[in-house]
Amino acid sequence: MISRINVIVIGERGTLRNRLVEQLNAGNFQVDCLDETAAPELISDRVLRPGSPLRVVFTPLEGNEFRLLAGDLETQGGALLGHVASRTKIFLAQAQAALKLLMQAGGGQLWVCDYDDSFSYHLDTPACPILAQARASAVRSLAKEYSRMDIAINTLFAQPIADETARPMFRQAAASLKSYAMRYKPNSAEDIIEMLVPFIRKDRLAFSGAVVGAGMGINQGHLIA
Amino acid sequence: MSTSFLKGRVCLVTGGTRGIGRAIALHLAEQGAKVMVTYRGDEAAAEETRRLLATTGADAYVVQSDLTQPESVSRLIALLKETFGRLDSLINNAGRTFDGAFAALDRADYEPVVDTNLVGTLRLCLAAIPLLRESRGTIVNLSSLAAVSGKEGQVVYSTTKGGINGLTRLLARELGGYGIRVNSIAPGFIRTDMVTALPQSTYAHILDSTALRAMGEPEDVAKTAAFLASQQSTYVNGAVIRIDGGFHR
Repeated sequence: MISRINVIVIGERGTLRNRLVEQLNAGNFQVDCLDETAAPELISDRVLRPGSPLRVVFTPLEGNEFRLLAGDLETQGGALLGHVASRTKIFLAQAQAALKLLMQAGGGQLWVCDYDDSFSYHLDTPACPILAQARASAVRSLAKEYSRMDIAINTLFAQPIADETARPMFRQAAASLKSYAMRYKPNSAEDIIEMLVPFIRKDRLAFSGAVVGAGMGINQGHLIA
Repeated sequence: MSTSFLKGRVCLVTGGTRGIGRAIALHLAEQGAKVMVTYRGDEAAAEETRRLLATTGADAYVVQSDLTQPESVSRLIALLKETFGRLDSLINNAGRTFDGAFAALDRADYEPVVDTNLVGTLRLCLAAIPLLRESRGTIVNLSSLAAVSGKEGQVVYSTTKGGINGLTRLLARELGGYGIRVNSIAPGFIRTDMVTALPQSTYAHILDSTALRAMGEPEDVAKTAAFLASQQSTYVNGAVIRIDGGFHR
């Protein structure tokens, strides 16, 4: 019998993170939450629970780079620059800390979750193409470097979720897309988390360095360059 | 494409005094472009590039600029405007790396890679947009196979190059309405000083993993950069073009 799995969830509050934490708590995981600005030492200096398999999950970025860019073009401000600089650096530092902890634990899983922005023309939902692609490329390299240490590292790339805020946007988009609307079916946050949690529960994953897509009809080749 | 298919076009090439960047600058100049090339600190390479550009007969300048410094970027755009009055193509080639086992790296050592490759590139793109709107110009970003396939020992570098691909996507979508096209090139193993210094066993492994069984040349990248910078690629936008000989490791 596997000991209670310890999951460290890192990221800003949002629908997907909230649902993940709820389901993990309900599923008898030991859950520790850190926000997106958490100092790396809060990760790397943690005392491991003996015998507990370790998972680290970065939850999706909840910002919108399209909006930041539009604002900067208008005002010549630096919002997008600041966002990219700070979030890239903190992610790398937190990922380093997570790897140190996973190596100490003798292996485990690291997940980086982000949203696809292919449908951003129609939905005003979180969309960070710069950071999402940066994090996905980090995962590819990390997997090549750390899979040999029994650390499985993967990206979960989800199309925007149809939560309370987005559901009306999806309906409006479907109405305007008409026949094209038949092509896709939006997921709820629960759908995405119910896909992810079984992977987290597994003792050993058969993949590392992968981009696992969650979405029907919208992810149009955006998962890989 | 005929020679001088870039006649009259004004191109800015960052990091254009060595390796792939120099090859791009020279090829653009040979195709008739007016060229401004930047370098960060290698004066000897800058001088050699000036000498080589002079042999093309092109209207070309080599200037020092640091993309990590906002004032330096502002001065660069002002100089470009004063010198040529316009900008048709921005080729973002400047980049650096700090390789090693990721978990053991020092932040102070690898964060300059982020500052130059990703933040610096974005900073210059934003500064150049007003000129590019006037000319309905192009942006060509140098990404890397490392972003597409991943590379052990190059986590930070591949992260920044992945960000470049995302930046290409963002800008292509948002600037398309102004007639500005934005694309990336992802070179694989190209014969530069860094690659030729690899051990023979690594070199052999690269060739075995490449369908064409050959290393790429800087000119291979330069030709694609020129294509994307020109009006020969008018419907290419938001693309990431791999130049890797069919690398399949």
